[in-house]
Amino acid sequence: MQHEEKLFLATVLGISALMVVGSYRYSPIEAMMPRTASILVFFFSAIILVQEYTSIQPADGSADLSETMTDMVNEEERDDDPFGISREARKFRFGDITFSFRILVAALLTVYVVLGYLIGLYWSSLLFVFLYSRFAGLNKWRTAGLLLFTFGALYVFGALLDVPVTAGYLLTTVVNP
Amino acid sequence: MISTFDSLVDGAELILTPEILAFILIGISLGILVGATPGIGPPVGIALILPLTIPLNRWDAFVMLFALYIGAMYGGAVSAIILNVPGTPGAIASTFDGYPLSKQGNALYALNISILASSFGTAIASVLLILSAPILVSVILLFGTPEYALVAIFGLTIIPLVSQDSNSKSLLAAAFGLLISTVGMAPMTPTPRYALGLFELYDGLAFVALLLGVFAISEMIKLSAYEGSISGDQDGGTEERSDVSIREYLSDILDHPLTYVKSTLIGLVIGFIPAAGGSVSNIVAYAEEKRSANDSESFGEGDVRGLIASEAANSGTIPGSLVPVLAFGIPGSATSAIILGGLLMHGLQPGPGLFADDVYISYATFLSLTIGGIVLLIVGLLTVTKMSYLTKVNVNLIVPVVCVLSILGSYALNINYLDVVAAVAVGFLSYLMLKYNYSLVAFIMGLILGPIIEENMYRSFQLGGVSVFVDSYVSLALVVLILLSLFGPLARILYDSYVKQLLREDTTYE
Repeated sequence: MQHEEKLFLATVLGISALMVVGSYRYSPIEAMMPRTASILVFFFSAIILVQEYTSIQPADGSADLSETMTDMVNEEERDDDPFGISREARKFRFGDITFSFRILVAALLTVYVVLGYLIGLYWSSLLFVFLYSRFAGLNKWRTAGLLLFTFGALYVFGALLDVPVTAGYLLTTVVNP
Repeated sequence: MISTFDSLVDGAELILTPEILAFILIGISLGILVGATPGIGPPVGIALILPLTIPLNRWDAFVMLFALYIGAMYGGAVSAIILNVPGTPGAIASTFDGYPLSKQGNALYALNISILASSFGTAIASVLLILSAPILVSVILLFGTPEYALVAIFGLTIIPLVSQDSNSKSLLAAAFGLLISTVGMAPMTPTPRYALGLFELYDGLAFVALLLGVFAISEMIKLSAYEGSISGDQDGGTEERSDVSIREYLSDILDHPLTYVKSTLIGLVIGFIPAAGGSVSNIVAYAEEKRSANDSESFGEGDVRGLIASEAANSGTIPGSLVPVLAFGIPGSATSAIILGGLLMHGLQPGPGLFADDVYISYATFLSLTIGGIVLLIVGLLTVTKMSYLTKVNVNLIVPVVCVLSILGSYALNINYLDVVAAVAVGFLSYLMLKYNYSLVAFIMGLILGPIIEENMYRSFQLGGVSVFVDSYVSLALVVLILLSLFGPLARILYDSYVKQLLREDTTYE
């Protein structure tokens, strides 16, 4: 079992455990479904772990967080080309560490969401597209095309669908309360 | 009670307007576009377009979603035929003979055949449903509250049987979906569960936002590791000029009428089964066509019957899969789950009532699918020579566009930033699920079926305790099906190991 999968299972089990503990605040009828679902999550996780460790022994018995991070950033993209076309997965270098490009996209998305809350989705969307284009090495024409498309999408959502794309926490509470 | 004919007329009046026909045309065109672009595909494409239907009136939105489904299902065959890369799980079997045909220089012919088969499958299956609606109504009305709860449970237990993922991983994903579905107001009491004191969570996590996270964001994280176009250096080759006229293509239906009809029926019937869908029907129809052929050795070498079987079946599944969606709110596939999200978003509450008092809604749905099948034939044949361009779109252009549309779309639903956070968080988790073969469809099914199971179990217990689940033949049959789907695979494993042991003992004696 790879470290990322362990991280996923730990997250799922953590959420389930929290929801079981939280269910004691509700009446037995209200708590029945969350508890049943949590028990099923624990049960199937146990089956997966038993299947994993009875069939394949891990190379080393333990895995701490630093190993997990190293594994995630230096992972070899071996088996998961979604389209069955074998080619090497894209990497991104930051200092001495080589990241999977996916880690970078996940980080960019996280920044996008945080900034979207603070300064609104208008500027954060444009910034996300600009940063993605830079890291992906797109030429200026493609970057401009993507920015133009983003402007168009923001116009559709902002002007036609009345979505407050310019509203952000900082702008509405600090700059212009 | 309104007569069947009156309901059919009411449904036709709803659908046969220039505006609706225009939305069918737009839906089919957009569907082909998203289905044929590798890396986007039907679930992602339809989920992205869903928030844009907010300002439309409900029937404009519904027919556009149905048309998107039809167009995207055909679009999935484009990359299957040109690149040997199925654009949707429903087009897997289309690669078996479609790609060999393409390699033989017959890509255009194969694409035209797939348009004909898709169009035929959708239109004929829809007409069959219109004709059999009175029977369907009487069957669906046999389902009361306990049966409704049991169908939903069956929808969960059957997932491992129909998905290609691991059994325990699929069931874990479904259980996790069930758990997440409990966030928000409890169905039986006005108590918000796990709302963390946030008013925004009282209605639970926004379903369409979760769909965007599960299908769009996870897929984009996965896709971002690759540069250039999905097709790489492979060349489509649909620029070839064909001397074959449309009339000759249409005569192909007369050459293989049984293949068209049989595969459409297989698709239609498999569509009824919760959690099955086009991914199962295309394989089953292909296998059946190969089994029943006298000269089966040509299958896999570019036999047009294999392509017809796959495409007619996956398109025949579309109307079939909308029956459990409309009757019970139970989707048959990832794409129909998104369609369900769209129906709910526009205020249509699925339930047996849609086949009883409001049966015109079902007629309108199947009529729009029939028209969609015909429009697909026209749009498909007009655009077929340009299809290979879509397979060359650069991944670097797809990823930022889809991410921005997902974020804006998830915010636009309720103007609630928590939906954006939920979409991205679920997107990250779904990427890991995708990578390690935890079924995303199972997760979504858990999310959808959780409230249905909880509410109907509670009501059933109020009606008369556990005994209501074995009171009728329908509920008894459903209980048996649930037990079979749960313990059937286990019994099979035990039986296989017993047979192997016997064989081993025989060998030892010899």
